[in-house]
Amino acid sequence: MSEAVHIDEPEKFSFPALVKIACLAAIGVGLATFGLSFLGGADLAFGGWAIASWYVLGFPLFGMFFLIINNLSSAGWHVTMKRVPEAMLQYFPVGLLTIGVLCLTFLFKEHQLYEWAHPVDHGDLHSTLISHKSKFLNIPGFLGRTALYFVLWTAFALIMTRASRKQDVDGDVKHTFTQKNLAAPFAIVFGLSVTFAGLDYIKSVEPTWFSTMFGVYQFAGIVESGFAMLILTLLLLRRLGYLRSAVNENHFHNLGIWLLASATFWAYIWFCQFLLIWYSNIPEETAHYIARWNTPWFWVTFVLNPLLNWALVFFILLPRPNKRNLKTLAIAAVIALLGRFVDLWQYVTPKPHANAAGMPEPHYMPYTTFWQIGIVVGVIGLFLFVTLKALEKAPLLAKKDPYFEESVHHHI
Amino acid sequence: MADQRPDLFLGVFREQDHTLEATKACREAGFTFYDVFAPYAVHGLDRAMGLPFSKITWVTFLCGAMGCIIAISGMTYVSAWDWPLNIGGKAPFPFPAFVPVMFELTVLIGGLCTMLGLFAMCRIFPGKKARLFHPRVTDDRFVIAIEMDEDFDESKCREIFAQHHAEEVKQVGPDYEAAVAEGGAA
Repeated sequence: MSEAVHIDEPEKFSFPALVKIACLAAIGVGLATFGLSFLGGADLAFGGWAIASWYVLGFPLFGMFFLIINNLSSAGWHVTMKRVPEAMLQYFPVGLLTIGVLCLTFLFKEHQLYEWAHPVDHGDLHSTLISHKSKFLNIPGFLGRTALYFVLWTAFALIMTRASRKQDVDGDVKHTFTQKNLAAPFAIVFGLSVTFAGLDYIKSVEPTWFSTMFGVYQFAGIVESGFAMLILTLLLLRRLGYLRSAVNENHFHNLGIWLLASATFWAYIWFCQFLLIWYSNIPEETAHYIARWNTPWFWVTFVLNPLLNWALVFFILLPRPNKRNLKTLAIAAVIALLGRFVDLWQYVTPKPHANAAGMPEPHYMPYTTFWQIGIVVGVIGLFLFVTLKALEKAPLLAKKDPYFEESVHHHI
Repeated sequence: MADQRPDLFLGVFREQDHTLEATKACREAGFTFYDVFAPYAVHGLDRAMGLPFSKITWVTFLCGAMGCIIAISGMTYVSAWDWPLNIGGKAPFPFPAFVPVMFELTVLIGGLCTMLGLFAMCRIFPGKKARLFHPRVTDDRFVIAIEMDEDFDESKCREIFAQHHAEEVKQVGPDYEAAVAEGGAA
């Protein structure tokens, strides 16, 4: 409170060559894994790509959520770190590129990731259901919706960062109100677009499954992994010598609280989705879980997934000192990021089909597909490259933001 | 019992920052705090007084865990052990159905015990008389109360209080309740 904070670290970020090389190496790993995975089938390769592109698209979406929520609640504590989520937003155009690569899957007739793209009529209920859903799930609709999402998201990114930059020059409080006014309608846009994008890119891999919780489930995963990524990016900047006093243990404590809360929210939603389907016991819904319950996927879906996404993060971050200790915070963040991969992997990769007895059975097994994480590493490398490049373009501290002083002296 | 309590040395302050600084100075001088009174929760006051980290978190954690155990064992006994129930064709031990109740009882018992634990630790209960020492301490004044034990050095304490702009400095005897009644008139 009364302790003075002296900010003496550099205000301009320069992207160190070593980190640049690490990012490029990660991209190389990702592309190599993606290329090699075609040996296993195009659906496996594009499945991995769908996981990776949606996983990483979650980071700029998280940046959007973070800025919206803090603007709407007139929060001040985040101002010293707000350049990082703002830089995350600059990934949207590159994210569109990764979704463009995902759309190449439509060129494949065999081993199609999205069954609804080239539906084959087997004359059974499964085919009928898919043709029934074709009003929504069709290629032009998919491309059109993708265009709409990215126009909206990029518009948000442009207006938000422009207002922030203008404030750097004139220090006018009206830019804060611009951001606040933008945040209100985009809170709704964010909720709807994340739900529909999650349905398009991830849920439609199993087009005959019904779940009314999928949108909020994706939102929970995005928020959890987003906070983990924000924490790790800030720790990287700290290690490079930036933001050392402006973003101190009090800010990290807040982020730790957010990570703990969002992990718990994820667990709540994850379990709700399972509980409702388990209780009502309707075949269209339970098929998804039966394919995972009776197979090796059980350990991934029902053990590893809640362990990484919730249990470990929760118990590591529960004591107050652990939220203020940057090492334990980093461990929890890494676990949450691994958990996000497991969460998407166990959804996209199994691709269940009905076996001879009519029971759902996964097409791919966990021990032959875990390497798909390589593609995620690659796209995360791409994301970090774009974000750190964007971070170079503006001062690291928004010193003329009216909440700046409050944020510098943030103390809990 | 009242005569075993030490006399108190009080400093009355107008500003929050002066109070914080004076508290820090008193701690550095090695004085024993009876308490510091403020009209609202002052940020950083606990640290300035050198109070240890609250143990209430352990009450919450252990009672929450106890609530969870009560829920699972109670439901298992009632619906799977003593009289296995068939509800909607589920197995007699339908664990997923227990989870919401486990969660609810964890939160309920954890929350209630936190409140009761807080009351116990602060020794407050309905009908307890407040010891305020100054009529305006619930309004716009801060009071630092130092115990006058062996380590106490009155001239030094006076000096610290004066340095940090104390409005009023006074000593109260071991009968705090009488002092409070007197203070109310002052």
